[in-house]
Amino acid sequence: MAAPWRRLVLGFALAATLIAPVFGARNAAEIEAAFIEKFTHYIEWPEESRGATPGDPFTMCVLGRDPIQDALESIAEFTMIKGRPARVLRVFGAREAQACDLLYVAKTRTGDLPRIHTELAHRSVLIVTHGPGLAEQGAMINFYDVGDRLRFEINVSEARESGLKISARLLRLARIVGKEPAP
Amino acid sequence: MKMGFDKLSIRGKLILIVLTVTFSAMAAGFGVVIVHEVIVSKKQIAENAALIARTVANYSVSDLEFNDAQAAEQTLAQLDGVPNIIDAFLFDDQHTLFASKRDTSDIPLLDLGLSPHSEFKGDLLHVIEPVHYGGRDYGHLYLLSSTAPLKSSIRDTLLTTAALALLVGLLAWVLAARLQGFISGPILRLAGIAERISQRADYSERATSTSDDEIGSLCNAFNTMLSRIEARDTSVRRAEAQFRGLLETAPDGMVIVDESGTIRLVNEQTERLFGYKRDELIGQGIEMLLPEPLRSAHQQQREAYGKAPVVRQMGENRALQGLRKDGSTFPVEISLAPLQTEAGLLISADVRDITERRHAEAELEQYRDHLEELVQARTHELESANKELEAFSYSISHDLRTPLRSIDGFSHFLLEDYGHALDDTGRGYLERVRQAAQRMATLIDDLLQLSRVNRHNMARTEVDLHGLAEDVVGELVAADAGRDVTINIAAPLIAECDATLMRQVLANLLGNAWKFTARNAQASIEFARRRNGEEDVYYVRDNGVGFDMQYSDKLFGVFERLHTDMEFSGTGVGLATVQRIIQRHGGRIWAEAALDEGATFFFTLDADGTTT
Repeated sequence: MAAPWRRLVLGFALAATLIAPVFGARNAAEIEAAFIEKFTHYIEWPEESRGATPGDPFTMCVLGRDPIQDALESIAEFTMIKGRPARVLRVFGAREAQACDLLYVAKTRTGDLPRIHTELAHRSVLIVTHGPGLAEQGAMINFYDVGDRLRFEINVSEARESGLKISARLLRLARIVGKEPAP
Repeated sequence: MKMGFDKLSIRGKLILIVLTVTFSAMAAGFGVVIVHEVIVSKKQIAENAALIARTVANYSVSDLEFNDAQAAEQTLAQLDGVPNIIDAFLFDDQHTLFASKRDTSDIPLLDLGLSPHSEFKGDLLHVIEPVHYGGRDYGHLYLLSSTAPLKSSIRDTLLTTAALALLVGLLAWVLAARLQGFISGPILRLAGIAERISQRADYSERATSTSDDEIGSLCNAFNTMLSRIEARDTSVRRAEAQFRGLLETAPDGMVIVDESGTIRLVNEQTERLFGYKRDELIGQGIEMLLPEPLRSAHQQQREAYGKAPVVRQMGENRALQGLRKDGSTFPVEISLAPLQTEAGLLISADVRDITERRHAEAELEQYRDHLEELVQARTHELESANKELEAFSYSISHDLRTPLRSIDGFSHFLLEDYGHALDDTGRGYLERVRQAAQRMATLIDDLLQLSRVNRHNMARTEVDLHGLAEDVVGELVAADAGRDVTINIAAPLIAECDATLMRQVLANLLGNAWKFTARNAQASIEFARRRNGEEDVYYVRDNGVGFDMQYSDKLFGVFERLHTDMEFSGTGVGLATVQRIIQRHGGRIWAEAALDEGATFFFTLDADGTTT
């Protein structure tokens, strides 16, 4: 059992983390990480896609070196995602990312997107990027900046193909990329 | 208002009642409908607003999550197209305003608190909807909705209701106006008949009852009443006709005046008496029928009579005069009778023309005044005639006796001295001459006695009639000793009378009794007195031959005989003498008898019967 003072420290830390994305002065990586965590509230992963059991951790992967990894890790440490414990993995190739629930492609590796797209086709992996035009290249959610505000766009057709269901609540806030094929 | 209702006809009342009931029921119904409408409308508005609030709140979840005020404002701006939503405000979980529908600093909310809420306040509906997702609270949505639809719905309902009320009222009016006829019709007909009857007094009219309800029975009752009134009317008319008939046929003039002395009714006899036509009298003052000098006094008396009306003769012991139309007067007798009627006091005067009676009375008066002279004259005449008669009969009797005595005497001498010279026949003739002469002497004696009764001076003393009777009977027995007669004389019989005359009475009456019982084997004679009311009655009773009562009036006449000489001897003067004596005593005499059953002679001695 943890000592009382430690729980107090942890509580403050948690509170700080939760409030930080909205109110606090934070770095871009932390804001993005907070956004990513919120995205998971509005996205449903298909149950059969990983054969995962409820006890399996929600796996967030980062391809390429990026400060977001630290930010995600600090979230994963205290936060259950989709009712599961969360973890962050560093991956190095597209194939490796097949076991992820979420893949963040660092700016340095956005050139790999077409390959990743191919490798992860029909896999329910949410691909998140930050860079202009990346949504059109296979990313499902792509951050972009408007002034000092962080915005995001969603490629709905990509998401559909990967079997992910994105809530309209989220879609309302995003710029929609990719044509929704007529059902 | 009540007065107004009272003035309405039944028709109007019925219509008014029907309309009042219809409108009351309708107003109550419409009231319920409107209240219901308000409740439903409010609920609808609230539900609508709640739905919108929930939807908007749902939409706002991610806006709050990602702190995207712009997106939130866009979301709220969508409400511009939604009817009735006036304002919307989005608050984050710190209760800080996050976004609003339009730029406004006017937030009318904080006094409501931020608990989930839906409340009508003023003209607005306030809705607080939590923004909630995945078990987390993100903030609140505050929605302001107009209640205009409620008002318009109420207005619509009111308009519809008013239109409907107008329609129903019109329908009710038409129906009531038509249907009230079922009730008011018969009543109005009845009222019409009643009015006609009261105007024309024609009770032969009848109401026709058309229904079996109360109006029907009212009609029947009305008809029954009419029948009774008709019957009563008829009997009243008949009584009136009878009264008029009686009045007209009354033998006297009948004048009926009211309290003011105005003539109200006269009969035909009055017209005839006074020479006026009926029309000339009715409505005029009664004083017109009186001569001028009597008028003012009559008026005063009439007024006094009006105060104490009783049945009485008018002007008793006074000469009343009537005045005819031609100015002549005539004596009248008037009887007054008061008659209290509803119209006041009426006085009926019975006027009788007494001219005839006055004549008769005057004549009678004349007779009365001369009667005494007449009686005196007559009495005088009678007295002188009587005296002459008495003198005549006395002298005749007296003068007749002398030649009679000569006839008897010389016949006697003839028989005694020359009887042997005559044969038996001759002697028989002579005997009969003597008998006749003697009978004639007796007759003359009797007549003398009768006339003597008249001339005898009465000397009344107390006389013992018993003793007197005993003497008479003694003489009778002595004269005719062979008879067996039971004689009963009451004792004592003291009477105040003339003894000499009384002896003659008893001698006659007892002698008759003795004589007429001669054929009886068991003769009986009674003399007694008995009290009959105020007077003493004496009687002599025998059980002799009696007589037939039809001849009783002849008993006391002179020379009247009920029996022949062959039967019983007698002169027919005795009872006349007896009656004479009794009359002189102021008494009466009478007899009762039956043939072969005896006779009783009764007499009294004093008119007032004061005998002791």
